[in-house]
Amino acid sequence: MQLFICVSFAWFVIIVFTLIPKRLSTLDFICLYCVTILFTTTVFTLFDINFHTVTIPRTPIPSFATIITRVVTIPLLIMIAVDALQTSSGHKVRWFLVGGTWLFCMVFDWFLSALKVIIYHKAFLWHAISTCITYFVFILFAWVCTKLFKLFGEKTVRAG
Amino acid sequence: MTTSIVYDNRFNLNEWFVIVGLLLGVATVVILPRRFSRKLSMLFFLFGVTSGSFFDLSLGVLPVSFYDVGDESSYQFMDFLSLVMYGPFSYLFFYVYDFMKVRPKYCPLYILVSALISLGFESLGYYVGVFHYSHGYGWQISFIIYLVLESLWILLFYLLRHVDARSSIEP
Repeated sequence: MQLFICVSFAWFVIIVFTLIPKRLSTLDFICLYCVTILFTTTVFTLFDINFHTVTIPRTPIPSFATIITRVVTIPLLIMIAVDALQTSSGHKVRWFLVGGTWLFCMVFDWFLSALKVIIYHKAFLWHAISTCITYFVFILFAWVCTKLFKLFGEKTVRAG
Repeated sequence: MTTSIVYDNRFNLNEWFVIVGLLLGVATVVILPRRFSRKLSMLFFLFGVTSGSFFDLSLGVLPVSFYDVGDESSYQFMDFLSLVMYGPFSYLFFYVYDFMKVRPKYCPLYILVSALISLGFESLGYYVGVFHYSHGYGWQISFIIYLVLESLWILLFYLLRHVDARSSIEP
């Protein structure tokens, strides 16, 4: 059931991603996806293998559910948040969208723990705070990288 | 919870392999005349790093650790450098493909040659202690991964070049 839920959820996020209006270009999104995958898998691996704070059961179903979550759900959620930061609409709307996605990421992480796809090894409060900080850093880092990538492209246009 | 396996605890050939490989790779990328827009060049570099991180940190670890990278099975700074080392490989893959103006019917041949070269570098990495295989993993599985991954890269090459050309025309 864990894999079914994670795959369905990943597909739901794909649907949301395709339907929402976007500000970033295709190349920006691809860069954002690459950077997010690189950064998130590194941090999750550190939590799992080095610190043993959030581990993944080494059985096929939770493992594949984790891979789907890492490759589809989390990068797309972060991409939605970073894209929302580009919107020209008012500050309130922008921060509501980003805050909502951030909250969603955190609740989703706790949900994965409830599903036993990931296993928390410390008190829930510790994980609640660490999840909160981790996803905030993910979104911030992805946003900075996108900004730099866009700047990179603009320089080419000016130089050309 | 998994216990960490220590293969080696000295700064030796495997670390030098990663450092020299990375420096040579980055130098080659910088020295070569530019063929793509800055954004495309960046993406072609990132593809290698991202694919490396996906395979080394997700498929290589879950559900069982098929291979470890570096001195220990836990994640170290040198492992991160080894991921960056994949960047120049992917960049050169796209660069040579574009430079040689490979026609689509010769794509499979180009991918095969490139997969064999990648396999050669991986074997070298294995012998110097960068990679440590386990659970029956070996070069034959890597060969399939290279073929599939590089086929996907070719597909992305055409797609991204089209997108890049379109975005440079649009105001």
